[in-house]
Amino acid sequence: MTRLATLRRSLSPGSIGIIYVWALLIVFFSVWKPDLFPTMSTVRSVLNLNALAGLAALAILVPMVSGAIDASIGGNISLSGVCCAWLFQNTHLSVLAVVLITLGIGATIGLVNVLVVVVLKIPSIIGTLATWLICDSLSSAVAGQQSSLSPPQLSGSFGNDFAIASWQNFTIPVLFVLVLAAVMGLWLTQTPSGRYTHAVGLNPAVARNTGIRVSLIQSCALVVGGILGAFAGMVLAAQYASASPGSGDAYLLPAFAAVFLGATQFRLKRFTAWGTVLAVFMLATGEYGLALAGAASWIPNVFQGLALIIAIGLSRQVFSRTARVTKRPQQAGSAVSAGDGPHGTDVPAGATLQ
Amino acid sequence: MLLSLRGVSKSFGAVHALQDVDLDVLAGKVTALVGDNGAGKSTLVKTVAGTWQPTSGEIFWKDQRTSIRTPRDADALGIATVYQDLALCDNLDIVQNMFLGHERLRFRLLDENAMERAARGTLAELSVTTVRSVRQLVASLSGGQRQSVAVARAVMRDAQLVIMDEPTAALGVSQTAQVLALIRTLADRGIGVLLISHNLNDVFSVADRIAVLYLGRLVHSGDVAGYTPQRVVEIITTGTLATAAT
Ligand SMILES: Nc1ncnc2c1ncn2[C@@H]1O[C@H](COP(=O)(O)OP(=O)(O)OP(=O)(O)O)[C@@H](O)[C@H]1O
Ligand SMILES: [Mg+2]
Repeated sequence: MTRLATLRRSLSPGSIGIIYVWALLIVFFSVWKPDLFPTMSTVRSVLNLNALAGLAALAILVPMVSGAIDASIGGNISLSGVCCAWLFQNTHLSVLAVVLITLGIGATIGLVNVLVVVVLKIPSIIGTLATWLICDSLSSAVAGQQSSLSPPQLSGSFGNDFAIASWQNFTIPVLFVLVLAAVMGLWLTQTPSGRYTHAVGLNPAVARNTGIRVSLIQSCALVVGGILGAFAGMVLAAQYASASPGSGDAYLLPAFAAVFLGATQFRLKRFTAWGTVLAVFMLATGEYGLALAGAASWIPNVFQGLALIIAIGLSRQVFSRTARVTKRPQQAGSAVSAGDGPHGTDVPAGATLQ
Repeated sequence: MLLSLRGVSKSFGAVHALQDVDLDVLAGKVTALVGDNGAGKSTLVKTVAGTWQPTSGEIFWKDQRTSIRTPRDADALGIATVYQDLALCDNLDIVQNMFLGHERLRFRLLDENAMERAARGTLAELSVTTVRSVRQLVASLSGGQRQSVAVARAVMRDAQLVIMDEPTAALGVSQTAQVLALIRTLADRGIGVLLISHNLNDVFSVADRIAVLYLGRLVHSGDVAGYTPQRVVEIITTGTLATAAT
């Protein structure tokens, strides 16, 4: 393939649709609200207000790549945020100790998911919904009678380091998202373990035959997802200087929307770190524009739902056209993998995006 | 002797898929394993590939007793198994598939250029010329091309024993010829090949030795020259040779 053809293909709407939709949104709202929308403050708001959603999406991306859906992310964010606040309120532990313990709680949630998904082989979408429920209830139990916990440390140095510190009015969580996406992108595309994780998610039976440790990789992915979820939980607590039970639930669906939308991007139709982050901010731009334009409060959610359907629908169209040309007579391989262990059925992306 | 099975049995509950099987596979020879549906061919392959553990019996690798507990163990010994459908990852490209599990690194990151060069080299060495680009997804390959890539993968890994479970089923005439030629090339390079096939034409055109499984028992084995297709069919269907001894 010539370089020009490669370039044309990588710039085609089928490859980077999100960027085109994003550009369209920006043009649309800039024309509609020329005084309010195309400003630096919009850029700041969109990034600052949605960095946490980006972190949550990246947290579920890792298990997702390995073929496991982690629906416990909402409960994880709630529980780790509340536990972090509780530790500040009720102990004299140092900030570092609290941070480490909270990350440990996230890792433990990840391990519970490993038990459910990898050891007991319960389909991950169901198993992790159960962990979500458990985590959510535990966050209420930890909070006890209080509807929210607001120890002063949450707005002190801890709050500063996790949410408030800023550069040019961009808050630190934006930096977290960009760094995390860069590291994760590098890991997924440039390292053997990243490639194995993809292989495990795409075709566990083949990966196993190749000698890849499928269960180990999926377990690690779930634990990493748990730890990143706890990190997002601390950022949430720091952002609001308080933590309340159930506060993480709102991040579940947008995170999945972003991961799936992101997977429709780029040539290979795989889950990607940058695709995910782009999708988060593209969706956020649309919502912010709608809010500026004074749209009723229910409209942004409708927008988000429609965007997800349209983006996946479009990429399927584009992709099934290429698939039809190249389809081979036998597809038994995918049929076998679909019935295999904890994977297969869990990954609509396998069906949707391949 | 590259690989020897001695008294290998494998049961799934009450089903005795393999009973007391003795089998030898030699380096540089193509050994064909034939038998009717359900005779235990795939079970034997999976036992050697590390997917199953034998219920009893011993496996020798280069005359040393060994145990193959996982596909990783088989891989470490130098045994590569080419399953018809589960050999390659559809959504990875040819290079990525050929190196999956054995990536080349540069500064601890994947060295795509080196892998691409090596993959091209190996495919050329094996005269696999029909593949347009080594960067195309495996999903877009024909059945014969897929088999070729899977075999090239085994060669690249310096496999000493390549096991192929029905590599030509579902292939057309020219693609079958392509894969058979490749099998011959492997054996001529000194690699041991264990070929499972229902197609006796294929077996007689490429194999040096033949072994027949009947209801989980290895009932006949020897040089292909000592058999005719008609006699093999008789052994496959009845388990014995009524007419004359081999
Ligand atoms: N995982 C399993 N659990 C239970 N029984 C099995 C299992 N795998 C194979 N068997 C049984 O073992 C016997 C041998 O099966 P195997 O797949 O090895 O046959 P085969 O020779 O490969 O047949 P074919 O030519 O149809 O591929 C069959 O009776 C089969 O039902
Ligand atoms: Mg079989």
